[in-house]
Amino acid sequence: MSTSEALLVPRRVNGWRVGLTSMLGKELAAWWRTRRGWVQCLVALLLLNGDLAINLHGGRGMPNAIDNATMAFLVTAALCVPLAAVSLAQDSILGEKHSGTAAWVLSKPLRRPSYVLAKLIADGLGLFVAWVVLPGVVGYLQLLKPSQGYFTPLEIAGVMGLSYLNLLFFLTLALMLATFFNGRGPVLGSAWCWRGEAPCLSFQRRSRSTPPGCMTSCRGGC
Amino acid sequence: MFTSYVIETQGLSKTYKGVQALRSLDLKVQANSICGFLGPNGAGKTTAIKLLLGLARPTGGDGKVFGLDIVKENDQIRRKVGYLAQDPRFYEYMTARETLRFTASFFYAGPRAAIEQRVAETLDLVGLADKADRPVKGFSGGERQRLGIAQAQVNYPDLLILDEPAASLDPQGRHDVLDVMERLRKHTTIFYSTHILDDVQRVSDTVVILNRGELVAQGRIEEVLAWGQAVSFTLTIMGDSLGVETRLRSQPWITGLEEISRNGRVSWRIRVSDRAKAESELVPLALAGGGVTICEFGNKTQNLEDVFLKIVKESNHEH
Repeated sequence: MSTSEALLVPRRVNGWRVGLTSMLGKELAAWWRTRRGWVQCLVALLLLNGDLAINLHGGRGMPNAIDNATMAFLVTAALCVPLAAVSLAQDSILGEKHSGTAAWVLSKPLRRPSYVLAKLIADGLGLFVAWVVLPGVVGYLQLLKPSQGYFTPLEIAGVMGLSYLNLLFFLTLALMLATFFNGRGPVLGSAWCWRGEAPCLSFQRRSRSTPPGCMTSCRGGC
Repeated sequence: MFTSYVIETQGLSKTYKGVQALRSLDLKVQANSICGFLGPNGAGKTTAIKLLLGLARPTGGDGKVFGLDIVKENDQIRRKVGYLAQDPRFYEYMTARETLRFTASFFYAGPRAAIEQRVAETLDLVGLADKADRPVKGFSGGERQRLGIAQAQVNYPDLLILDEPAASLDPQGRHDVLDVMERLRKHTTIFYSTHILDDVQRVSDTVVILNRGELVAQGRIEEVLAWGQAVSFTLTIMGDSLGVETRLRSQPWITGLEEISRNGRVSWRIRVSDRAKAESELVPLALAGGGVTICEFGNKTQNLEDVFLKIVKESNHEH
């Protein structure tokens, strides 16, 4: 009992933000001070940019090869990004509910909205870096030479923005469902019902080889 | 606003899906006391603790901790309370030091050096200083329990609520936990649930006994120990037990005779209405017929386990 209480500055936050700073700090550390962030980056690079590299290499010399590779890259991203978001988000809350750590942290000065919001912010940021920014930038570099600079950085940023919106929707949905349900089945099932109905990320570009207006959109099964 | 009671509830009730886990609990815990919260499994102890911390909502009644409402002001309550859950779980990838640092961050904004000092002191208090930088994943049950006590104590709370603090500890660990509780007595009020009645008798000032969601006894430990106590003696003999039994049963001041063992020797628990008569006449009565050897004779003191079992049994009969 030697530390003077006077030396320590108590937290004085009130309302729904009680505990947010602490929880957010812990969640961000869980992303970037453990293997989680790097593993996600690696998986995203292998899946998305690996797929793009294979398509670019395989379609070399064929007409519309770049268009097809780009489209395959976007379709894979539209499929994998929500999958990553839902898988991570449901475990983020359900895992803690099942292990008992959620009950432990909620016994501290931490409001439930802060608990969920900290996860939304940290997972949103982590997934954004791992599944949107990194594959987007690497994809841009992969396409830079074959497309002879056809894609502008602004277009790529736009696509990444759309992809992030897609990710954010599924991340929020899965987190919300995980607070309602105790089993993984209902959370994953409900999220994937939405996934089935949601239009995949579509991308249109003015192609030199395909007629303008050939908008590609796919539903459900893509 | 402080009251003389740290915890005060009126008619506090909780129903889960039609099952009444807690019925109209009127609980009072005085400041700077150690209060043992007892009850059989499923009595509603953990439910009551969760309600006090605002981790569950009551379905009836109300309660105050430090004069703060347990429903509307539970954030402020949790700032002043340290809580150790039954079977505590922590983030496995964190070390003990990181766990305490994370816990402290809910209470203190800084400065970092003072927080680190507090963390080190708390680790020292529970004897985990040498394992401070090991991930929790590799901790034994006892070490987790110590870490649980440390995280409950890191904010030097005014009230420490411990749910089965010695449950998974070996005798030495249990002893250490009781020592920690004794040391903290000066600084804080301790409200703890347990099944280890010897521990309660050793350290508690007051006792609360819950059965089937209902409060069945509450008071200072001496008062509870005196509950329903009749004067009783134990007598162990070798020889003509039938003759001794007949002579004892014929005495009007002997109100009860219960055989407690028969293994070459016969032991009885003898309840009496007149202590003086019993002290002077029991042994001569036993020896009166001859052929009897007295092996043991003494006044039987009631311990908390006897009282607890008696109270719970009576309460079960009432239901």
